Amino acid sequence: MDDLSEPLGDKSSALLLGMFQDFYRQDVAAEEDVHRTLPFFATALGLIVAALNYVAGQLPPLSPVVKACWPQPSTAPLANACAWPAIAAALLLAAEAVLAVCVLWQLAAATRKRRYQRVGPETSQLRRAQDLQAYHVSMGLEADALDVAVAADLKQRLLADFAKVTAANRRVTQERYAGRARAVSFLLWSLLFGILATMFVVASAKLDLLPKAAP
Amino acid sequence: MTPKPSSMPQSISTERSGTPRVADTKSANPQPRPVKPAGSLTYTITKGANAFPSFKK
Repeated sequence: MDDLSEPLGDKSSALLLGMFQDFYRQDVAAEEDVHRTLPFFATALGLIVAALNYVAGQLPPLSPVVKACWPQPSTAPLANACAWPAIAAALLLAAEAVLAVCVLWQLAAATRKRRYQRVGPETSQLRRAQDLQAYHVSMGLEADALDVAVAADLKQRLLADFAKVTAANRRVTQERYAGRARAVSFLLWSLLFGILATMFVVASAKLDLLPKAAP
Repeated sequence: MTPKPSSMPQSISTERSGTPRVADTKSANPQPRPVKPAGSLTYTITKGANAFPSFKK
């Protein structure tokens, strides 16, 4: 969108300009939103790593499990109920770890470099105002009429520019927010699998379900 | 010895009529019509982290 073909009136352009400026400021502030939530993700990932560490420490090593659950090579691998508690705990643990990596991936995507648009720079706007004033002087305007004409042209220019850059900035902000939302989803699933893995391992240990090495 | 007032207009009239080039020049090279400044006044900046440079859309 460039110059408006039909310039708006003073009141309607002032109304729109105020609204566009609010949206512009919101998008400029939103740029840092994702970065400000990173400490939350760091804390949650710390909990996930702690759960991973605990559950992995409780799992029996692979060799005793194989010896205890598959004493004969002919035994079907997954038909043996003896190995299921260990297999289930390992799967939950793996899911938790993979989802934690997905959290980091999505956060990296959400915070990556992006191109934003700005209104300005100020020197160009000042020069534009001076050029407009010279133009209207050459058209014979002076005093108050000159000022009104320059202000009206500047307002139309700002309206078009704010409309253009705010739409582009909002698109970038939405991409960042979408990446962060996906990171939150992965984080919650990772936490869920971490809690399940911890509960499963604790319960299995209490009920003596985890296989031990054959004597 | 000031000239008569009546001689002044005559003299001026002679000078003006003797320099018709000004009018001819104007008609041959008219002043360009002033152009209203237009065009977008925006610029682009890049912001964000660079943890994974391979991310490209």
